[in-house]
Amino acid sequence: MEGFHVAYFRFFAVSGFLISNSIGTMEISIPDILNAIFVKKEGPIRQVIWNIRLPRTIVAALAGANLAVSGAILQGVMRNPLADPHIIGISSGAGLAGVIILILFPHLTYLVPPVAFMGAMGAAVMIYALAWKGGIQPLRVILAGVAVSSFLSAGISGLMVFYSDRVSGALMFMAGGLSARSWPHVRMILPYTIFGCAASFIMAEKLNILVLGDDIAKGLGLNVEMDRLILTAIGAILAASAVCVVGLLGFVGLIVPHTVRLLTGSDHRFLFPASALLGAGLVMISDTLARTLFSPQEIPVGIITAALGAPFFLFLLRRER
Amino acid sequence: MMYLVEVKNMHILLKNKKIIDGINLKFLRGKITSIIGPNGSGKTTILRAICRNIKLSQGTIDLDGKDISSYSTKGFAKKVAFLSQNHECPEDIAVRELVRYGRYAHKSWWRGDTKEDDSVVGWALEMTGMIDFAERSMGTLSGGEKQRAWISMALAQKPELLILDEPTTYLDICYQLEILELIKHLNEKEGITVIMVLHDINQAARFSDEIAIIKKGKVFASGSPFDVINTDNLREVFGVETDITYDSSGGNPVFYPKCIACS
Repeated sequence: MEGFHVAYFRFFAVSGFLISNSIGTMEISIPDILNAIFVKKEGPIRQVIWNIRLPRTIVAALAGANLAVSGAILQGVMRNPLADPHIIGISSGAGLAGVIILILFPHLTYLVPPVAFMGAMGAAVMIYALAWKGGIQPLRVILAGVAVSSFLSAGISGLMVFYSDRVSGALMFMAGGLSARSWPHVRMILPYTIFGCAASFIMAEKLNILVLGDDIAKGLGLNVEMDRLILTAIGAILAASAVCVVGLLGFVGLIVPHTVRLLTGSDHRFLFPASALLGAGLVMISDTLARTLFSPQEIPVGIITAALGAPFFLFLLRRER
Repeated sequence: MMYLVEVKNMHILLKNKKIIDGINLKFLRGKITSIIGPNGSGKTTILRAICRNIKLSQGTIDLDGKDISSYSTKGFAKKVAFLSQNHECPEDIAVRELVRYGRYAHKSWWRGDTKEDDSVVGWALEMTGMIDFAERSMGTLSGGEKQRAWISMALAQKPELLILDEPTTYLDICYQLEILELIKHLNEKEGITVIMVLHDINQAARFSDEIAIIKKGKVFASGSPFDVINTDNLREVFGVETDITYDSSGGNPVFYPKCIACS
C-alpha cells in the first residue's frame, strides 16, 4: 500500500524534473535533455540545459525536499498539524540571521548558511520555551510560533528600512525565488539535503514513537528530550539551508506533508521519503510555471506554490471529513 | 525480595504546592495493588513518580532494590510499562504496528525486527485477544479494543511491572470488566506485578490483592481490601455514608453509597 504510493511520488518527482528542464523560451524534448546531460557536451542545447535549467531545477528540487521534510518533522515534534517552518517562524529566524549578515557584515557572506541555521534553531528554541508549560500543547505551539514569526519578520523589515541603501543583496534573499540560481547554490544546499534527509530517515521510527506523547514515549524507553532536540535541529537545518538558497518560500512545508499523510498515512518511515519527493516535484513544477506563465516576466515561485497548494490542500481536507 | 517497589518518604512539590506529603508505600511482587482516593488526592502523581515522569522533592523510590534513577531509559522500559490515562495515537496506525513500538527498548537502532520481536508481538496480541484485530487500524476500534491494543503494547515491553492510570475510564461497564479481567489474568498467568489507579472502589476491592487509600497527598490506609474498605474509612476519605456487604463469590467487600456524610 505505502510502497505503491511512494512509487507515485517518485513518478511525480521525475516528471517534475523533466518538465522543468523541457519548458521555457526554448522548448527541449526529453531525449534532447538526457542527451545534453549525459552524452553531448556541447552545442546550444547543452548550454541551456547545463548552465541554466539543470542547476536551477536541482536547486528547486533540493529546496522543495528540504522544506517538505522539515515541515514533516516539525509537525511531528511539535504535535501540531499547522507547524510549518514558514508559519511558526523558523524560516524567519533563518531569514533574520541571514539578512543581518548580508546587511551589516556584507564581507562575511560565506557565513550566511551557518548563521541562518543558528537563527532557525534559535527561533525553534524560542517557540519551544514560550509554549512550554509543564509539557507541550499544540495550540500554544502555534500561537507562540505566530508571535515569534511576526517578531522576527518585524526585525527583518526594520533592518531593511534602516539600511535601505544596502538592501539589494538582502532583497534577492527575501523574495523567495529561484531566478539566476545556479551551480554554486546547488553546492550550498546539497550537503544539507543529504545530511538532513539521511538523518531524518534514521530518526523516523523514533518520531513515530514520540507522537504518542511524552509519557508513553518515555515509558517505551525513548530518550524524549534528547531525541526531540535532535529532530528539531534536523528540521531547522533543512529549513535554514532552503531559506539560504531560495529565500522565504512558504506553504511547501505545510501542504506537502499533509498531502502525503492523507494519501499514505502517518508512518514517518514513508512520510519522510514521500514528502521529499512530492516537495521536490512541487517546487520544480511551480518554478517552471513561475518563469513561463507570464514570460518574459518571472514571478516569485512562492506565489505559485501558494496558489497551487492551498486549493489542493482544502480539497484533500474536505474529501477526508 | 518480597516488594518490587518501595516508596520511601516521598514528597512532591508542584509550583510550590504540596502534592505528595511524605508517602511510604510498598508494593508486593506478583500482586495487584490499586490506589484509590478522591479527585486531586495525588493518585496519578504517585504513578507518574514511580514511572520517573515527575521528580521527587524528597525521598526515594526503589525498584527491585535499586533506586529508579539508577536505571537507564531503556533498561527501565524493559522492567516497567506505563499506560497513562489519556493516550492518543494516529488513527491510521495498525494495531500490530502500535504493539511493535513496545519492542523499542529491546532493539538497537540499526537493526530491524528480530524473530524474537515478532514472536513477542504475536504473544502480546494473543494475550489480549487482539490477534484478530492485528491488521486493523486504531481508528476503527471501539474504546475497549483500543485499550486492549495499548495494553498489548505495554506487554510487548515484557515488563515485570505494569502501571496503569485508570485503565477503565470512558469504557462501558462490560468493557471495564473485560479490561480488569484481562489485567487479573496477566497477573495470575504471567506473574506481572500491577499497580493501578482505579476510580471505582468496588472494582478495586474485587480485583486487587492490596489497596492503598490516598487522602490529600498522604497514605490514609493500606492493606487488603478486607482491611481498608469499611464505613469509617469511606466516610473519612470520600465523605459518604455507606453500607458494606460482601460479594457472593470471593467474599470481597462491596459498598453502596447511601448519602453524603454530615461533618
